[in-house]
Amino acid sequence: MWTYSPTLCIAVGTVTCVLVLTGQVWFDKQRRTGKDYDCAIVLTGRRMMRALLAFMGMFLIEAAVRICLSPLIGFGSFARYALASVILCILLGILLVIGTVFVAPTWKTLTVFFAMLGAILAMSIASYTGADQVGYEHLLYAGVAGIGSTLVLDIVDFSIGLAKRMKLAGEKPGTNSKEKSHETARLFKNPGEIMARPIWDTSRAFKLVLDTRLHVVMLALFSAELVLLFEGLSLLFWL
Amino acid sequence: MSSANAKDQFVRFWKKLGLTFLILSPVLGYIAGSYIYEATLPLDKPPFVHWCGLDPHSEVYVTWETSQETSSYIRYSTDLSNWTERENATLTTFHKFHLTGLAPDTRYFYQAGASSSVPAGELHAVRSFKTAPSVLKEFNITLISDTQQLLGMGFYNTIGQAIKNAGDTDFLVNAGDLADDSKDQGLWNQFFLESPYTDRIPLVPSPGNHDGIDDAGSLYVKYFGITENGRDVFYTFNWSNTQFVVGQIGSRSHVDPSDPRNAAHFAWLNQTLEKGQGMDYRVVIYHINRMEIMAPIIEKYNASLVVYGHVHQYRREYYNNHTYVCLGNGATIQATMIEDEPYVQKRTNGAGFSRLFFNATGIKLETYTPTMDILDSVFLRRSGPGGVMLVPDKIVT
Repeated sequence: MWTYSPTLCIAVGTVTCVLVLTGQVWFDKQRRTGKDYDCAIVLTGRRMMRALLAFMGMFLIEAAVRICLSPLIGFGSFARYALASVILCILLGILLVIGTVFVAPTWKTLTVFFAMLGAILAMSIASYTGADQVGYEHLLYAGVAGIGSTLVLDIVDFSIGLAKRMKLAGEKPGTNSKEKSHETARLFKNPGEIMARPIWDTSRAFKLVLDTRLHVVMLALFSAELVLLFEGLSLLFWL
Repeated sequence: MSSANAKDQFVRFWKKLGLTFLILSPVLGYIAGSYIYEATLPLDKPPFVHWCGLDPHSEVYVTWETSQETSSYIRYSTDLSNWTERENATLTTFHKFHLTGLAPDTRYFYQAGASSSVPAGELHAVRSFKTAPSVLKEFNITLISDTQQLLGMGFYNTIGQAIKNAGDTDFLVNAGDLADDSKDQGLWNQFFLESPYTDRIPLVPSPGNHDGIDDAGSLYVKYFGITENGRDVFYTFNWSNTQFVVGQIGSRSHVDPSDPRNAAHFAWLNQTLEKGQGMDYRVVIYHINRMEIMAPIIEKYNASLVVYGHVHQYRREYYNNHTYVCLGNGATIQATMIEDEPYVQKRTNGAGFSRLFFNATGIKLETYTPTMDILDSVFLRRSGPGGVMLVPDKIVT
């Protein structure tokens, strides 16, 4: 059996918040122009990043539950020294999973998410029931596999979409060379067709989850907790 | 691309860079702030008491430091009135007096400064220490370790303040790695500044790997001195019915007894523990614990308790009928991954310090958080043939 320390979880959470906000700062086309990216590489990169964030979300929730249930460590006062970390990890974990998976999921998103969730649950239960061969590194493999399978699914989807468009373009009569070149360029703009469409879109309902201000607040809370842990305290040490 | 567009993109790029820096600023600010704080601390430090290599029944060292060269003066007494005075006219920034002829089991008050001619208000505030009792007497001591703070970051200030507020204790054992770098004066200034308890609690240090006792210019050696062979720092002393043995296993190169560098230490360790067989308890203190090397020695001489550090977590182990306590929760980031290990009876995560309460029936070990919640509590009761084995009695938390 193993567990993580609150410091590790809060450090991971802080890095995650930094990643989310940095992503929002540097990839801000939609916010600025109202149009989304159409470059296949950028879109695949974004989906891989979302898979990573979904994994981070599950990791944080799993780690928080582990801290609560593990008999391996004592805190003297759980409320004073671990509760704030646990609450923050669960909160950010839920935000990440909802924001990256359930707001507007495609079949690809759901497939990868449930595969990762199944793997994490299976390994967690196995490690709790005393299977010593299930180490923390196996849990990390689930994240790597999730990101990798996002790439693979995108390549498959891309290939099918590309083939479909090429077939349609080939059937189009009377195009000159300039039009053909333009058509070829268009073929490579986000050709994912089959699994790329959202099954549902509840982004209006989950506006708060996606709100930058909320992530700024989360970063502030995580940074404060991290600094306090470095100083031997915690956000709720006054309890 | 038009020049207006290029300018727009240029401005946007720098704005994004600025925002990225802002996102990183809470953590980077903490790191930079801690480092600047530690690096700019003054050399001045108030007096502290230690007795490395001395017999604390009758003698101690009092040391302090000033940023300007001054002469040295100390006065001490048992009743704050009949002062014994000592003075040294040599100008120095490092002031050290060896007080001798002290009475055992007595609280001494002392006041230090530049000279007897300066007004009392310009001397350091009155501080105190207690000498060792010769007779059987209940007492308690405080334990910490790994008070090192990388770039000045860590929770030693929290622990130091908690120890100061935690009530009376006879002395404080630090099981090594007092500061993160043996040659970084700023880190050592920070260590002493964040040890406010030294106004009445003497220091009993043990060298750690970060204390670099084999390095020229080690500040551990500067502050606590050499005790043996012109190069070694191990020492022992008795307090009431207990023998305290401060070993020199401060780095990986000190671990191997067959290494000629370590021969003198291990020979001394065996002889000292042999001599201490008449005491009720023997507490062995060192920094790095290699069970396969130390356990045979601990078992041969039936040490009551082993106190060590190096591993950054608090854990109490019970191995072959002997208790080992690791005190690596004195300042620095705790172990991030915690795995099930054999012999470990209690493990905690987070800042803490421990106290040992000695009496005729055994030793009570209690470990506290900075807010005095009990992290671990166990009574090591004397039992077995002749009542010399110490068996964990009850795990409270």
